[in-house]
Parts: sequence; C-alpha cells; structure tokens
Amino acid sequence: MWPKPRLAASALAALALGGCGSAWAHGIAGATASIWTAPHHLLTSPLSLAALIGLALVLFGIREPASFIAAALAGAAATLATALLPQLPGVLAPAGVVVIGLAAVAAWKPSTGFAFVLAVLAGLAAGSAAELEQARWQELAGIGITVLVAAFWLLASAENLSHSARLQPVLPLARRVLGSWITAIGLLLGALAVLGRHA
Amino acid sequence: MNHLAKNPAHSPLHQSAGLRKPHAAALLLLLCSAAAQAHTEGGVAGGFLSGFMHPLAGIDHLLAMVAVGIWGATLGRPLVWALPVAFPLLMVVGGIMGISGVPLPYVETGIAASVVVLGLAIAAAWRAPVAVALAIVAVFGVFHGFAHGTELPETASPAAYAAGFVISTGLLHLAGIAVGLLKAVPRGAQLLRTSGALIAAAGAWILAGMPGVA
Repeated sequence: MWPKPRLAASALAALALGGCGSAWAHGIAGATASIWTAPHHLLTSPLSLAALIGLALVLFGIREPASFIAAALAGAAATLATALLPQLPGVLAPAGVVVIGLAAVAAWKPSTGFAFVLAVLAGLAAGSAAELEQARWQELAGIGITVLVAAFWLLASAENLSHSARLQPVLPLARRVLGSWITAIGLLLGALAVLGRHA
Repeated sequence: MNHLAKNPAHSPLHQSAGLRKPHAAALLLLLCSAAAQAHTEGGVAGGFLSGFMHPLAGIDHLLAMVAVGIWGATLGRPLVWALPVAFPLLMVVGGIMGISGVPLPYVETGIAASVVVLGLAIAAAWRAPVAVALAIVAVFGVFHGFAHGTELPETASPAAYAAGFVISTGLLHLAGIAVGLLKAVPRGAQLLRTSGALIAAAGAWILAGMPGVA
C-alpha cells in the first residue's frame, strides 16, 4: 500500500475522532464558527456520503495522480456548492447522485476527462446535500478539505481493492449492486425534494 | 528469493495490514455517524435505524428479500446482479407512490404473494427468462417499496430513513446471494430447493393471515 493513502486514512480518522467528542454542528450556544461544522454535516448526510461513495464506485481503480486531482475537484466543487447553496435547486444533489449511481450500475469506465466531470458533479452533490446554513470561511474550508480527504481516501481504498485477486470475481457485481443502492437513495430523496418534503 | 519476498512492504502480510488501516478509519467514521447531531434533533441516527430495521422487522419483507438473492444466485449471470439491482430501483417507484399518497390496492397481499412466488421459483429451480424474472421482481419491488414509503414521511429524518431501508434491503439480497452459493457444494441444490419450499410455505402462512399467531 502506498504511504499517501495511508496518510489520507489517518488524516480522515483524526478528523472523525476530533468530531466525535461533542455536537459541534450547531453548538450548545447556537451555530459556532468551527471548521468541524462542515465535517459533521457532511458525514451525517446520507446523500453526501452516497455521492462520494458513488464516485469511488464509478472511478473504481483510478490511480494517482488522477485520483488526487478528482478528489481536489470534488472538494472545490463542494466548496462552491456551499457558497452558492441558496441559489442551487433542491434537486441538484439527488440528481447528481442518481447520475453517479446509474454510471456505477452500468459499470461505466469513464475516460480521465469524464472522471473529472463526475468528480465535480459528486462534489456539487455532496456540498449541496450537506446543507450548511452559513458560508463563512470556516465552513467553506471545512467542506472543501473534508470532501477532498474523504474522496481521496475512498478512491485510494477502491484502488487497493481493485488489486485484490480474491475479490476479483465479486467486485464487478458489488459495484453494480452498490450503484443501484446509491441510485435508489438519490431517486427517493429527489422525489422528496420535488414533493417539497425536507430530505 | 523473488521480489515479493525481498521487499517486506510487498509481502501479503504487509499488504493485508495496510488494507486494515483504512478499514479502521471507516470504523471510526461509523462511530462518528452514531452521534448524528448535524441535522435533526438526533433524528439522523434514529431515522437510519428506523429505516434499516423496517425490512428486518417484518418476516414477509425479510423472506422476500433473501429469496430474491437466492433466486438470482441460482439463475447465475446476469440475473445474479440484475435482480438485486432491479429490486431497489423499482422499490423506489413504490416508495414514491407511498410517499405521495397514490393508492395501491392489495399491498399486504402482494407482499405475501411475493414470498410465495419467489419461494416456489427457488423450490422448482425455475430457470425463468431474464425478462420474466426481472418483471416478477420489479412488480413485487413496487409493493415492498410502497409499504416502506407510507411510513417514510412520519420519520424524523426521511433521508436517513430512505438510506436505511435501501441499504438493509440490499444487504438482505446479498445474504440471499451468499446462501445461493450453496449450489456449488454437494447436495447444495437440494438444500436450496428445500429452503425455497420453506419460504413458499411461510409465504402461504402469511397470505392466510398468520393463523396461530395472536
């Protein structure tokens, strides 16, 4: 295993550990300006997680440096989505997740260019689904860094799994099945958004 | 001595240890999500758990999901993945119907019938054509989704509830596929056919209104 994914995994673990202590998402005395607010929102939003996991399913086996560029693009797109959240339609995140999920179901192997487009889409979906109420620098930095680290960790883990000889027979099946779960979640939450219920 | 043996970083043992570290991070993330304080008042974890438990709590849902996996595994490729892929996608259609209040008659009967039909298909080792198998699973998926969907709007966190019941359903399919792999062992096919007969019998019992259960 490369040291970089291991570093990313450790950074993510530290991020999660740091966030486990108490409820910083809204704070005891109202919304606090903390860089940890964004990870809390992102990691407790099923749609955000579905977008990032779906991205790893579609870009399964993508290598560095393309995986890092994809993760960075996803992070930048998530930051942009957080900054522009009031202007974005509610169905953006579910629609993005449905596209990514269907790409996984179809076992599509995108070119590097399309991989980056999908990474941007996943970042937009993850960022808008996290639903951060305010877009101060703490939240923007938090969401960008969290999406970058989480996406890179997922892509690096997927690349490691793709080398496992034992899992080769089940990996194509697992990608399609997990992709259908991602699509189903996106469709259902898209319907909720269209029907005007809070997702 | 070959290259792998010379470089300990490339040894299978080291690679295995390397793979475990990201998994440890994933476990930490799971622990983090248990707090689930970012959105509704502790409702994300509650909503997820509620959705996750819904297919597991009802024996009709549980048996039908496992039966889909077993049937797909016995039919082989492409249905081994096509059935578990089609089911959640069509289940969502039923779920949306349930959320939006579109009436669907005989939902409970349809769910019980799905257990009977899928059980009989396994018991008879029916090699259904791809389109027929997909159509059967799709129709029953709508009934199951409708039942989940009608409960969804009342939960604290609909997003977490939806994710919970989709993941739970998928895991039951995978459990069914794992059971279906028994076909490769001696007498495995007979075991699977017997399990299909038992599932069909349970479905008939549910269809009859579960006599003997208070």
